[in-house]
Amino acid sequence: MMHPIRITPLRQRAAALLLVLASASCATREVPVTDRLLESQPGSILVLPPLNNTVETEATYGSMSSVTVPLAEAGYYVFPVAVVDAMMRENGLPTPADMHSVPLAKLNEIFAPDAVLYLTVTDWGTSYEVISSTTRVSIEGRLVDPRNGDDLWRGTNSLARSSNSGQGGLVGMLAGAVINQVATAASDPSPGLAREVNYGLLTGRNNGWILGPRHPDVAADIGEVQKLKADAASR
Amino acid sequence: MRRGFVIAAAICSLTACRQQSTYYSWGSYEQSVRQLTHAEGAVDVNAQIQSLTEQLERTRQEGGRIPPGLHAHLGLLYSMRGDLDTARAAFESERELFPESATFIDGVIERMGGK
Repeated sequence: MMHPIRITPLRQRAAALLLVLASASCATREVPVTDRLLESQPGSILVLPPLNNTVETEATYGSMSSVTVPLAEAGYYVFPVAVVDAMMRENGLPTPADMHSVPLAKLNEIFAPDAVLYLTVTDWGTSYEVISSTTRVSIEGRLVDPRNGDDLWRGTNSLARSSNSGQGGLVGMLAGAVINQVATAASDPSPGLAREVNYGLLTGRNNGWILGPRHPDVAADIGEVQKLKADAASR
Repeated sequence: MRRGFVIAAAICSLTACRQQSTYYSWGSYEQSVRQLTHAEGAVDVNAQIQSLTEQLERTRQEGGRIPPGLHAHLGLLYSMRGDLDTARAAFESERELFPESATFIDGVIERMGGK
């Protein structure tokens, strides 16, 4: 008589466990692209100079220069970041914090962008230890619809690299020799790492992005994402 | 021999091979943005203009795609050395190539005292 009573809760527990596993696997297959981004399908993105939440003054402009390429290569029109920066400074907005506080209506009037990208650098720079050093760059972002302030996308990415992970050495020396005329602080690894962080943050379906209208595969990409989201919703 | 190959491979990965995989011909746009915003005042505007205009010419000859922002960036550089007519023409090229920029570019040209 005791056995059925003991077995039933076990079965229930097993069933509950199966349910949890099933929903977890559904969650991992879900595409993290928001409905708002799919509805909006922005074509142009205004990137404001990144807010700097670190103590390193380099972080804003060291990370801003590598934002344009990943977004434009994904099919978006990216407003010229240095021109935007210069114009805002000339108009009494000297810091990224000032620029980030400009009302959306004003940004609409001046730029008429389909979306505004607000970035914040939360880690930047190299910490030196006895025999090695570690460089870390972390950036978080928010893409906003300037007509209503809705979030179209949110994301964060962080990378750390140690000095003994094979990035220096022969290749590093060659890079210095071949492109020394570029002279962009080759000794500071942070901007290079920021380029990778930006690339991971600002591209790819798994990071919440769809392709922009200037990309040759945009129609197929959006169609696939819509289908994946519909499939996930019907499960 | 082996060392020569390593060097050749490294040069290849650093230069031509990397550029061919992009949709736009970026050239030194990113470096110019970085230098201009990072070390304002100490930047050699003329050298950047020369490098970017040569790059534009090469992209046109090779039938490549001019990236968004490059013409406007050149416009900024021209305006920094007081060359306002050339700057205006560069901004107009940006607007022509990327109509998404029209509102912004019209405002920039107006503020330059044009029209």
